[in-house]
Amino acid sequence: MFGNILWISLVNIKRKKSYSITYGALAFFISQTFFLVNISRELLRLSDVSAINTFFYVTIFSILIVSVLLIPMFTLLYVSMREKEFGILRIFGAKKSEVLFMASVEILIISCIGAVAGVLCVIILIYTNIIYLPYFLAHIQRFELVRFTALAGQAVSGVVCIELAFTVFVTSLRMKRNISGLLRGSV
Amino acid sequence: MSIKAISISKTYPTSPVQAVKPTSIDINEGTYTFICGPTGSGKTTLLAILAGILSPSAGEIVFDTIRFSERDDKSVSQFREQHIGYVPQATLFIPELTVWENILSPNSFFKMSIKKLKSSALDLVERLGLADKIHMRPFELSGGEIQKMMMARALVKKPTYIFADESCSELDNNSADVIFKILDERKKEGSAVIVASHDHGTIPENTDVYMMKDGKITDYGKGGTL
Repeated sequence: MFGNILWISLVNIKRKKSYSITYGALAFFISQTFFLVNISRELLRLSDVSAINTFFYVTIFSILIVSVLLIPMFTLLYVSMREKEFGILRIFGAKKSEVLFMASVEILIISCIGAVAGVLCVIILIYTNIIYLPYFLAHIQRFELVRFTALAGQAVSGVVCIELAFTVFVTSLRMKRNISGLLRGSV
Repeated sequence: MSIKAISISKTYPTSPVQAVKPTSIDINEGTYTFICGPTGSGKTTLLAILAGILSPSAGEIVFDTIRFSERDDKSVSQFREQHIGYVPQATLFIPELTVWENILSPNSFFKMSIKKLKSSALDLVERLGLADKIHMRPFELSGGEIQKMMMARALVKKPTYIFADESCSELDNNSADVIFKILDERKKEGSAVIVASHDHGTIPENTDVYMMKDGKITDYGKGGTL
C-alpha cells in the first residue's frame, strides 16, 4: 500500500514539474534563511553583539514574511490547482486520509530535497567565501562539526514541517469538491 | 452480495427539481442491469448514488446488511475502493499524467500491489487496443479512446460492481463489442454490471432493464422484451 502511494507520489512529482520546482525552490530559500538564523543565534555570544543582533532580526523578519505570505499563498495555489484531481481520486474510492497522505508524501520529498540543497548551498558559500557575508560569520570555523550538522538539521526539519503542516491543513479544508459537478463534467 | 436501493431520491441543493424521484432497485452479483432513458432522466445521478459516490437526499442504500447512512465517509470510501469500478460519463482524467498513469493512479490506493495492478492494466490496454498509446497524454486521444482508458481504469482492480455511465456512446461497433465482451466475462466471473445508456439498441437479451424518465423508473423488464 505504501509502495503504491510512493509510486503515484513520485509520478506526480515528475509530471507536475511546475509545482515541484516551485515548492522545492521555496524550501531551498527558506532553509537557507533558517540556517543563517540558526548560525547567527549561535554566534550571539561573540563579542560584536550589535552586528549579530541586526543580522538576526533582519533574517527573522524575512522568514516571517516568507512564512506568513509565501507558503500559504503557494499552498493555496497548489491545492486549488489540484482540487479536480483530488475529486477524481475520491470518486474512485480514495479516502480523504489517503489523498492527504499522498499529498504529504509528495511535499515531504520535494521539501526535503529543496531544504537539503538550500542548506548545502549555504555551507558551500560560507566555506568558499564566494559571496560576501557579515564579518562575524568568519567565526563559523569555531563550530564543532556535530553542532553545525545539528543546526543544518534543524533548518531542514523546520522547513519540511512548515510546508507539510500548511499542505495538510489547506488540502483537508478544500477537499469538498463538487462531486456531482465533476461527474457531469461541468467543473 | 447485493446492493439494494430503498426508496432513494435526490434533490441537488442548487435545483428545486428532484433529479431522482423515490426509486427502489436491487442489484445482485453476477447480473447485467441496464438503466435506459433519455438525456436528463436522472441516470447519472442514480448510478452515482448506487455506487456510493453521491448520498441520496432520502431513502437508503444497503450493501448486504450494511446501511450506508449509518456509516461514515471513511467506511463508504473503503467499500467503493474495494468493490466499485466506475466509468463516468464525463471525461475525467488527470491531464498531466500519461494514459498508463491515469489508469493506475486512482487504483494505487487499492490494497493490491503495484505489480499486480500493472499486470492487470497491461492485459486490459492490450485487449482495448490502447497498448501503443499508454505513453501519450489523454488529450492526445480521441473521445472513444478516452472512454476505453476510463473503462480500463475502472476494471483494473477487478471490482465486484461495475458501473458504466454511457461508456460506449462514442465508440464504434467493434470497440463497443470488445467492451461488452470484457463486461460479459466479468459478469460470468461474478461481478455485477450496471450500464446507463440512452441507446436502447445496445441492450443485450436477458438482461435486467430499467426504463427511466424524468427521474423516475417507468418500466422494468428483460432485454429484448421492452
